[in-house]
Amino acid sequence: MDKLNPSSLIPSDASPVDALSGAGDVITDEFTFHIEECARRLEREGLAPDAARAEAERRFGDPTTHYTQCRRQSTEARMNRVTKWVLAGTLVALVAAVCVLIFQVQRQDSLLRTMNDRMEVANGEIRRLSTSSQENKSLSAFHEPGVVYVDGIIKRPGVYALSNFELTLSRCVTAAGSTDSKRIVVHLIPGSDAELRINEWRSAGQRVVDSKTEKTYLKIQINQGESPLFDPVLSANDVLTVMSDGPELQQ
Amino acid sequence: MAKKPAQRSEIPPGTLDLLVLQAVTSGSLHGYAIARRIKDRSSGELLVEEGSLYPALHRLVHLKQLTAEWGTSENNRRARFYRITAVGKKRLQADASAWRKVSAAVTTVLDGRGPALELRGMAWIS
Repeated sequence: MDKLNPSSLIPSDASPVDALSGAGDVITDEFTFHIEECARRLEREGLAPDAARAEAERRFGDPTTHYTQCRRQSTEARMNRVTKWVLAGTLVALVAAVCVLIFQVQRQDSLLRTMNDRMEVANGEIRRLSTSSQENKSLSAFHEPGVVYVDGIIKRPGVYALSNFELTLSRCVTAAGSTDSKRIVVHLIPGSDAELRINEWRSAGQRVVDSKTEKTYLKIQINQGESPLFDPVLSANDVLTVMSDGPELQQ
Repeated sequence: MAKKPAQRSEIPPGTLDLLVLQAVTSGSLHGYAIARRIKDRSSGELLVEEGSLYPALHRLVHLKQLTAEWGTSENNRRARFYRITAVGKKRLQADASAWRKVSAAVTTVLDGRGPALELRGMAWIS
């Protein structure tokens, strides 16, 4: 029996892709095998070779139609595979994008929280420093280091340094050597924060306004061996003039 | 001599896949052997245009219900052999069960039994 020509089974308008991929060869090989097997069987049953082949081809039907349908199955399957891969890729990309977004948001949130914590710490520090500064300022108004000037009828007139410890008028006079007089009068001319301190002294001692200089000073009387009734804490640049009880401050 | 096509039955639409899957349950077969098996088992009653098996075979391969591999036939010819997969077996069971139910129901209706009696009973009750 003559073999069939496989190329006769391929439709004339078959896609060139079939030839490249070999898909067309696979289909036509199957068709050829089928028709030849059928024809061989018919020959065994008593048909002449030509009649057997003609009957086999008749039973097979139109090879062009079957070929086209087979090709369509392959194309649809390939398209389905491509679509599935594209969809899977898109899904993976979307999930990855969402994960990255969530990660970024969490990171930003964490950063913001850390910054807020640091800001709160910094604000607390600023508040603490500010309070401390105000306290220091209020303390330094009365106890800031500096010097006081002492003169008059004392043994060691001069300039005396102040420390952070409170130095009272009586201690300063004692330090300056005092005098032999039984009763002395000390005039205190305030150096710093004069107005404030003079107001504070209003009820404490005797305020005197010098008619010539128009300066206000405090007049303190000290009896020998006794503490004065009012013993103010000295501040920087205070001027003390010690004199015996009697004459007023001469400026 | 072959029977005339008009004397045989066209297979119902949608049953070709079922027949193909059933044909290969006992082992791998090439396309021509599958066509012969369907014809032999139906005692030549089912008319299948042999070439139309191939689109069905290719479709079932793409659906992973069959696998296909090249081998050598009993005549030492290169042929493509088809084998049923687990997916194909599952589909065959489901489709065969559905087909038997439909077939039994159609037979029952055509024979004038079962549902017709029920209908008569309902009419009698009402």
